[in-house]
Amino acid sequence: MRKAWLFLAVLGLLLALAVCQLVLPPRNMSAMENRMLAQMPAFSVQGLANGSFTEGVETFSADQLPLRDRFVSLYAVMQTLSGKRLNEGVISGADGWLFDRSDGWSERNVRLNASSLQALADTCGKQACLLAVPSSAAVCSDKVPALAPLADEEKLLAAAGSETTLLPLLDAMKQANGGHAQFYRTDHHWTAAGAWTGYETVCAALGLTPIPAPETVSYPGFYGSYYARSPLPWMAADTFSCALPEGITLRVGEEEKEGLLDPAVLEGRDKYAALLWGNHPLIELENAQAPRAELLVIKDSYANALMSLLARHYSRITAVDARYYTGNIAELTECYEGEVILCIYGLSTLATGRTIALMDGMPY
Amino acid sequence: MLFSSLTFLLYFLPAVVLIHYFLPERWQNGFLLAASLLFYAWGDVQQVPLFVVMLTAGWALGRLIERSRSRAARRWLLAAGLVLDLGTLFFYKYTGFFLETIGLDTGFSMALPLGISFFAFQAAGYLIDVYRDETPAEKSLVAFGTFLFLFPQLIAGPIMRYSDLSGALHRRRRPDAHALNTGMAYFTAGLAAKVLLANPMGAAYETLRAVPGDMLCAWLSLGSYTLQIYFDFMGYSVMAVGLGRMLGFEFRHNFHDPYSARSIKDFWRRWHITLSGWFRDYVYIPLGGSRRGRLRTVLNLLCVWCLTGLWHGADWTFVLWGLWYFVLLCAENAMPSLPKKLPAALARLLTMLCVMLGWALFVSDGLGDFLLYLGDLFSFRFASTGLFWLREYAILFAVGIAVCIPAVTGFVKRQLGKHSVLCAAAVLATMLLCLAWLANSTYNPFLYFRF
Repeated sequence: MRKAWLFLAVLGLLLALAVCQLVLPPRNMSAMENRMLAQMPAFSVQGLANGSFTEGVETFSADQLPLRDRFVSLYAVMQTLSGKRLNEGVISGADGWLFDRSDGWSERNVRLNASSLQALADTCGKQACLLAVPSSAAVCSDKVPALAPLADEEKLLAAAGSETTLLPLLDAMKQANGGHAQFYRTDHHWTAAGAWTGYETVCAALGLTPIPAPETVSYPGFYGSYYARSPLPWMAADTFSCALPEGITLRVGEEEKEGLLDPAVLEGRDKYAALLWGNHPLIELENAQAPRAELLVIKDSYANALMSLLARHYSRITAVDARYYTGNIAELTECYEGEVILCIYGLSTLATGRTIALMDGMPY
Repeated sequence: MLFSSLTFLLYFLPAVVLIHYFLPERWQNGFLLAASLLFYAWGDVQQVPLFVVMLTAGWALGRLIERSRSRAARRWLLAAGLVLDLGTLFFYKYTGFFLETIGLDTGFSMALPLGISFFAFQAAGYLIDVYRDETPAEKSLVAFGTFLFLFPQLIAGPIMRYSDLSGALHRRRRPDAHALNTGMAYFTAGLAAKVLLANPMGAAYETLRAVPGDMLCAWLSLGSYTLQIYFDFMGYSVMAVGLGRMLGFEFRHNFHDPYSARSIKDFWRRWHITLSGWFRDYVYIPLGGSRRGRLRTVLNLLCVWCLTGLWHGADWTFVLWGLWYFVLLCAENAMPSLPKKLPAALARLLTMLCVMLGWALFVSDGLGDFLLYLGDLFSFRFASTGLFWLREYAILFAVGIAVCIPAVTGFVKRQLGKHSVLCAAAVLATMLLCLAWLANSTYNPFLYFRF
């Protein structure tokens, strides 16, 4: 066996990894991959019979592989060298920009959501306004790889515009600052600057005079949702930014929150989720000094960056997240005295689901 | 347990190879049988009783056939053995399909024991060999079990004959340095074919198949499946050869550059060689082969190819896939000189085209799905994103195609053979890349669950 040194080298490598795996204490969490790592499963006869025990051991030995972070990096290098630009539905563009693969977005979903919104407003005699936030691929198109599998967002927006009143946001975003400051590279959401463009668009539609931008706060080290799906170890972080106007109270259900940002979430990777303490079925923003009375908003997470700017104009904003709200939307509109139902939604959410159309109490 | 899992690579492989190496002869077979049972039970503990039944029955019947003097008794014993081996295979694999075909849609389904198509064939082949006096019956139950369930070839072949292994089963197996080195190199190469080529090709197939309305993507998806199934199957076979060498056995190679074939006949001489050999020796030749006139030859071929199709899965698409080769081979028999007359490149291209269309049928979920796929392949509609996908997988395809060309692999093998340090470094680096891939990617499909 002494001359078999190729055999011994490979066997030695495997044995060394095995011994280290058994001796070293298991890690709980991988910061690089931002997830919990599997632990050794507890043995049970039942688990052995149904295969869950051996499956658990397999995941354990993969997750707790010694030098796992090095292997993760090596894998990322291999992926990059193989010329692949699409991973887990995320497209790598120029200069560290990541984009969502969107060729599966459905115009039918957009139409259904937009027409439901219009039908809701018609039933209660209000005016519907839809602010549909395009994706970074539509605004920063110079960073997108050629011929990438993307949706035609102008066409989807036109479809929404034919069903309800669509606010003209896409062109405004393209013109503002060349567009690049409007979005994060590693996340699907918009920056404080992007939300400001949205705010100006809403003001123009609702006849409000924009109040100059309040103080903006920044937090470096933001790795967004695209990064989480397709992490590369050498990828640069974004800087999370948001506007923080004074004198606004956030109420989630019965609870009044301290401030507009969740400080615990700001510590983590996904800092955008700190805005308005995350997504909740129903929130209220109150501002005693505001000139106008009330506003009803149907929203998804994109609105979280914009709501506090609008709250400077209204004494009370009620915001319903159509994805989580289980109450009856018709009952809400019945006691609503404002004239406009404003819907702030990412185009991706409009096109990939029917959350507005499926809300309880929607007229059909 | 799969070869391409970290528990196998880190624990099972080093432990079994090392312990086996140092054991005295009388313990080696027993140890390998126990290890093989553990290997199997790791994935599917509930099928172990089936193992024990097939093992003892096969062993006892072999002994009885050898001892019986009367021809009739031998015949009955062989029949009993074949009913047991092939009946078990039929029961697990084809009962649901059979009931459905005769109009009894009972929703019957059984968990198919992994690798049953391989070891049932191996057991049946053994009994036929004993019956024909081509080989003596194995006296030791443990040695017979080791032959039947040897873990390197247990779940994806190659299908071995007893006479290939009987020598090694009865001597002290202590592989020399050359066998250990080449064994480990083969194993790593097979693992790389599975993990670094077949798995990404499989992921590419799934992505590309889902791209709507583009003929280029349809052909790219078919190309990626063509490469995936070859690298996957070839990878398992090469890993088996490597593991066998490290344990002192010499397995047959199951693939011999099939995608460089110049005709369909040539393709089947290079693809899954041990299965074709099994059908040739135990079905085609006993039926009379090609010596009983043209009509009988055609009927014999029809029988063999229906069975070959069915062996790959209990579905009509697999039968049709077998019939596709029956038709192609009949056509080739009618024009035996055609492949030689054509320029080599054209002959290879035409062969590949036929093989790929066969895979389109093979991969489809039923005839409707196949027709849809065929429609995509010949839609003559092109979407603008087609070129994005071509670029996305260009390097993967380039590497994959290069590995299918004998001149390329031959050159690499020669270079590595000359420089042993370079070879060791390449094998070690390849193993590291495989580990990185396995630690990261959750995409590690097993294609033979229907076999």
